[in-house]
Amino acid sequence: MTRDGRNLKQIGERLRKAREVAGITQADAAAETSMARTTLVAIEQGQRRVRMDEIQLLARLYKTSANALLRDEAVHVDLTPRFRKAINADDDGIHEAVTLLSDLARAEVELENILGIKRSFNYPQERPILPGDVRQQAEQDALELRQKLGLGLAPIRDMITLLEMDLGVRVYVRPINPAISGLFAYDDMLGACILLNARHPLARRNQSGSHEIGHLVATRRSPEVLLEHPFTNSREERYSDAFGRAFLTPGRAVMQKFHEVTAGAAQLTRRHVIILAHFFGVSREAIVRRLEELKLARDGTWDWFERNGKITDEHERQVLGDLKPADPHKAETDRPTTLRLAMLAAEAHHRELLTEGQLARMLKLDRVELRAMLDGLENEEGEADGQLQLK
Amino acid sequence: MANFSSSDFRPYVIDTSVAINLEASHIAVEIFEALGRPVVIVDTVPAELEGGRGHGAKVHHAIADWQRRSLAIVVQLSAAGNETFESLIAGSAAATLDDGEAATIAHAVDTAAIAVIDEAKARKISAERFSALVVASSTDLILDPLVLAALGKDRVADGLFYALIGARMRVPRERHAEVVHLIGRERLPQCLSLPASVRRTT
Repeated sequence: MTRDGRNLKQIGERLRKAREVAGITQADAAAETSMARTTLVAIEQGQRRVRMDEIQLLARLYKTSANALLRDEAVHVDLTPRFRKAINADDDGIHEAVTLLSDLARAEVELENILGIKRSFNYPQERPILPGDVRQQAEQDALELRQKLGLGLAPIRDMITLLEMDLGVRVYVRPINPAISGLFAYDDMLGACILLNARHPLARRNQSGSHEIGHLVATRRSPEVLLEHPFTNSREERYSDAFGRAFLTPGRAVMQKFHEVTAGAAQLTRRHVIILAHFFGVSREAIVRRLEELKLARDGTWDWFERNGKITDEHERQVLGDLKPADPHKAETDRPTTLRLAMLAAEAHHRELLTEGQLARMLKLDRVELRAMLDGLENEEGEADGQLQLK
Repeated sequence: MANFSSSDFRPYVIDTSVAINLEASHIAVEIFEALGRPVVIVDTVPAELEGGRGHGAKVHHAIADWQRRSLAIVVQLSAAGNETFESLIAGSAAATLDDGEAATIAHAVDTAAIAVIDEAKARKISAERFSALVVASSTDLILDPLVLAALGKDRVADGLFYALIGARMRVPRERHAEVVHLIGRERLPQCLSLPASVRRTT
């Protein structure tokens, strides 16, 4: 992007967003770069042409590059302001998670733009929450989405793939603060973005992902931080909770499976709970609470198990043995970035559209980490030896 | 882009990527001493590495050490250099470079020095836009006859190997055979930044 008159406003806007992403006030930025605050204000408003040495100074201060500020395709969206209400000044964990989600989504969109990839979205129709019973609405909406996706009453085997491939949501599984289960944000440019906590077990991540689909259906314009122990009980939250439960464990399917599993038994046992949780891919607690909700178990059943020896991982191992599901997305979380991002980056580098320096900065990677990532993908591709050419 | 010759004694302007490779070789100081000419680094390069994790921090310290030993000088772009710099960083992604790469080329063009840069896209853009600019690679510096004469073949081979495994240094295609010959077959499987075809065919 050249610094001619037409672009002054756009460059000013990009500088303002970069400053906000860096969390620096105008006054501090001006002081750090020995610039009058009024000059910086005029630059950000597109009323004064910014000099190249000033752009470089500001880029360094904002921990970005002049190229990232002036590259035509660069995506300048910051999700942080949307989460302002959810982020306390001292809550570094949430701030870091929001920054991570912003960085990943921004890099992915820019890489798609550079490579000319048009991502297809298949979001469910928006269903604003109406007056009345939110749980009933959520159950209906969840069933409707299941039908639309052709899931019927079948269990969901891979929530991440469903979110990414069936719905076209940008979903990232990364290790974040353990108190956070997930983040949801929607932006016109980025689309729907979800970050799930890689530190949480697979079953809990499935539930968090399902909860976030509820947000996508009913309240997509409101960003959300899903905490492990939420302290709000708004209608929106109750809707998403109920949607999440109904989407993962549809009432009719749970009833059918419950009767099959407990046939002939007089009591609900740990074994029943473990088999049902395994079948639906949810936690033991989630399935028992769902049984309580559907009146298939007495209220307080989960609390009873908790008081009487709990249902432990060891119990689960004894019942399921080798059937305990592998966590397909866990290995990916050890990579410096997501698999899809890595593949987009490798393609952009291979086609000489982006340099190592541009990619390292975009993906927030050390140069050597980036080289290792690119080498890994090149080695995988080398295995094909060009026999499987795509048209 | 003009051809590089090791008998060209103009200063070298090195890019971030090259600084990372030379630091990883463990023989950067000896290489600079052997080359017997100033190595120039534009201040954009240490700025990029400053505050970085892992390799970034190590290379930032290394640059400070090279400066202390008077083996490297850190410079700012001149007004003319800034103009070239801007032309290399503003525009479409495909036509632009990151700041360190662009500043290295801009300073080399401005001072008629040799730009040392490994990135294929940066070399392509240099060739298209600055036909008189001489561009060399990290490998060219490590395998310079002066370096080989001063350090001996074995130490240079070790330095090359460390740069390959520690920094995953990229080697230009035309120097693959030489590099393979120098580091030897036994060490080759560990050098994952060399193309699989190069590692396989030997």
